[in-house]
Amino acid sequence: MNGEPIVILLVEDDEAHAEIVRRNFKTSRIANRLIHVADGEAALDYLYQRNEFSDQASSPRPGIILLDLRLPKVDGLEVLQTIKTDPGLIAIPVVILTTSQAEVDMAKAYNNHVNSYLIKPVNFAQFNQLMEIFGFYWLAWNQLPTLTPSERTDRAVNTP
Amino acid sequence: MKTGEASKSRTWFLLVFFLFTAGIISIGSYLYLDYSRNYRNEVEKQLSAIGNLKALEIVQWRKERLGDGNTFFKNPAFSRLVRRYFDNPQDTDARDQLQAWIGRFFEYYQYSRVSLFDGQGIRRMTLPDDAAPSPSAVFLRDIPEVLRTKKMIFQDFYRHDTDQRIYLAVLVPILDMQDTSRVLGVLALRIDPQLYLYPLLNRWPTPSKTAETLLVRREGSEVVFLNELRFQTNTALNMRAPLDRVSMPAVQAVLGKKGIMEGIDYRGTQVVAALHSVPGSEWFLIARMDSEEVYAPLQERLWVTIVSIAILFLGMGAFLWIFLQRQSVKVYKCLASQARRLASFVRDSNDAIIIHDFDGRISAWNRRAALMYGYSEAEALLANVELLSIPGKFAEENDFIRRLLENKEALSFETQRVSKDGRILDIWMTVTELTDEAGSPVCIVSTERDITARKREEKLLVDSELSYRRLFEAARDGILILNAETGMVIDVNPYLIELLGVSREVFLERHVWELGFFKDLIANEANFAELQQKGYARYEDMALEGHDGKRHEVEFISNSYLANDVKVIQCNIRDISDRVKTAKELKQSALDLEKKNVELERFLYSASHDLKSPVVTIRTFLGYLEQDMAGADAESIEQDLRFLNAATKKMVQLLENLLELSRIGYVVSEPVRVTLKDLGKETITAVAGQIVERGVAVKVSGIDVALFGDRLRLAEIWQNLVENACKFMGTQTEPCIEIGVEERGEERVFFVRDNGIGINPRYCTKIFDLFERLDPKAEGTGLGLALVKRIVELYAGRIWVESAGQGQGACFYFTLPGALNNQKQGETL
Repeated sequence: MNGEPIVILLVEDDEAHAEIVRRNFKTSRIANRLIHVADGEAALDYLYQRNEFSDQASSPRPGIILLDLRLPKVDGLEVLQTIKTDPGLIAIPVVILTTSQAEVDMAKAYNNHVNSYLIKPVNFAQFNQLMEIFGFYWLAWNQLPTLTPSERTDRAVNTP
Repeated sequence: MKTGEASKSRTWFLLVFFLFTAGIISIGSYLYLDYSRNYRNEVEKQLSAIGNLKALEIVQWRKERLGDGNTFFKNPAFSRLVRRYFDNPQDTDARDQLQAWIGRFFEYYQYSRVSLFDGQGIRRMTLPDDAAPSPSAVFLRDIPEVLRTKKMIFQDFYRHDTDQRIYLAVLVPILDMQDTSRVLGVLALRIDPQLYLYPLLNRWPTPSKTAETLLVRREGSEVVFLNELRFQTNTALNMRAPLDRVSMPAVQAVLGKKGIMEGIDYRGTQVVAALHSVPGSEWFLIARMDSEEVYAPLQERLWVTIVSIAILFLGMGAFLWIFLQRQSVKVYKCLASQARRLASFVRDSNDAIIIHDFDGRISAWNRRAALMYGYSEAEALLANVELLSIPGKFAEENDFIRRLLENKEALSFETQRVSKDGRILDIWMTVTELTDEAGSPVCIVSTERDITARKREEKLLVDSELSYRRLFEAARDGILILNAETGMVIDVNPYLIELLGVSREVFLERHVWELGFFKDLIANEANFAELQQKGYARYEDMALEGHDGKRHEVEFISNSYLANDVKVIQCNIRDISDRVKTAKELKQSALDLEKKNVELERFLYSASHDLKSPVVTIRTFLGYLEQDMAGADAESIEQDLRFLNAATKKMVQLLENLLELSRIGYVVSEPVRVTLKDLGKETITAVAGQIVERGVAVKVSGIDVALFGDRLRLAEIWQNLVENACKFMGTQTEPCIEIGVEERGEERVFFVRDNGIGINPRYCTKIFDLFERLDPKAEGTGLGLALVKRIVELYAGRIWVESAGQGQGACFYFTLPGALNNQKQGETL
């Protein structure tokens, strides 16, 4: 654990749900930066630092991605596929957070190398617990490689 | 067959027999002829030898007689004595001396008389001196001649005048030795041929019944026999024959012929004779023998030969006879066995065999007849065939049979007979005449077969054929019968004719591939060969085009089998147009169902996500609300309530839209005609709020285009699209929506065009998905376009969107063929 906060990219079209996640992180007091985009297209723009996200300082590379499946424009699954087929992005853990408990969605997600699949509980306490455990696990316990400046340069070069 | 062989071998043996016979006869004849030639030679030699010998003996005898004469001729002593005696008749001494001489002569030389004549021809002395008759006239005639010529003469046979006997004589002149010119007298030495000459002639050296020697001389034109003959008396000098009887050996002899000849002798008998002359005389000697005797041994030989040949013949004949006998025994055995076989054949024949005469009297009745008609053989033999005829029909039938037999027509025919128990039987009858050796008909053989059962079967067969024919004619399947070898159409049933709408003649005498109807299946001979090979074939997806061009979906089943020894292919053609149509519809509905299932699945999927989302929101914010209310954080409470409100509102909206979506295709209003103008008006009215709010200009073109369908549903299309266009006008200062129709090729395409924010081409298909929203912040549930798509598809149309891109406006196109066509299709909605 170094002092640098982990950037979390939340891809969620539902404003209410984004608010839930935001509130949970706030409660958990995990020193992180939560960046919220509302659709798949925006998520990809962010990852590739395009359009409104071209500023590297305000749009840093995320340490983990929380991805909803049903997204306007570019679907969550497509976003996942893009991340996991791009060598520059593949290392970023992607955690699906969705209301869908359809078997087919899970299978598709794992087939596309998702790192974790979480279903939004229809219960206030459970939702909070889930987000708490998520924070401990992915943000505290889970170890991520430190990115070197040259790698950052590489990533910039690799950006299409 | 066997008799043929027998007669062949008989012919062969007859040939051998005749060859042998010819050989035997030839050899026999040759031997016989050779023998007879040798034998004749022998006999001829013998005859010649005997004749020759006798002729020599006669010559010798004559010489001796002349020698005797010479004893006195020019005998001086005798002459002197004669002169003394003549000169002096009383000179007894001389006389005694003369008598002694002559007497001695007479005594020793067997002369019958010796006489001494003087120069005047007067007999002066004679011996024996018994009462001597006067000298013969012949003497008296010849003595002067002897006296004159002074030469001895041999007096030939003559008959004495007095005793009528035959004599010969030697007349010797007695010369006067002192005066030789003077003849003293003549000494006559008379010879009796009976003493020596005749016995000599009559003597035959071998025993013979007919052999004899003839002595003859010629007198003028006659031949005179000089000796006594064996078979006729008193012939000497008496028997004469004219010289023209040339067949007579005597005649031939005097005519100078010598050697052997065959002729007819004095008795008229066939004889073999050897002819000789007697030198120094006028005589001819003939040694002869009857041909009968000569050839007796030949005859015998001939008989022996003939008998031998006959015996050989008999032997051969016997052999042949026995052989033929044995052959014929074989033949008879063969015939007998054939006859036995025939008899058993007749007896055991499967047909009734009845022999009867022309009046119908039965003479033969076999087992089968007894079985068939129920009369035993004993009963039948006492009966008349009339018994078997249907009462009253006998005469007619008999007449018919007679006519058949006379005309030599086919003698088999069908008739009916009655059995003992009164059953009427169908009979196949064959009649034949039996004839005697002369060829005249004797009786009738009738072979009868009970065909009652067969007839019944035939009738059943005809009936069943009729019923099958009825099936064929009445079938509601097309049936085509083809010759499996040639592919020619043999038969076609009325249904197929009706189905294809052509006449029967079009089918018949054609090759199936020429018909054209089956071109999909049997386009040519090669295809047919395939069908031939398969035997059974079934095609369910064939189409036949009838004469009127109407297509019939058919099921084609072909099967080949033998019918009346002809291999045929039967093709059953069933019109399954209805079935196919049903199947198509079924398939379509299955497809539809599947589509609906997919839709439903999607719906459920979407529901699980999109309907759950507000619930998650509601539950979570209720939790926050609870916390915030406990903390009395007014600002947070307000925020919580806002989220809760939005979530419930969304929930309601979603449920309403889902309900509406589910209604499409289930709730059906009466289809009506509606023009685009009306629809445009309605739309503008319905969406008036938004149009006015955004100041959108709406243009409607192609207003005369009429649609037919559920008016409310159709209106929904335009309402949703216009609403959608208004929603995404963006920052357009002169918002405008165009409603219209354009013709693209065959298709009539409706469109709703705007000059709003446009759509990224990437999402042009996605936007029609359920709950799909491109802008999460935009209002709506994402069901609007899904709803439109659903309605368009109900009218068998398509919907798509074209957009040059962001800010370039968008144009929704859709087709509604189901609403454009006709009233009927509208009704199905």
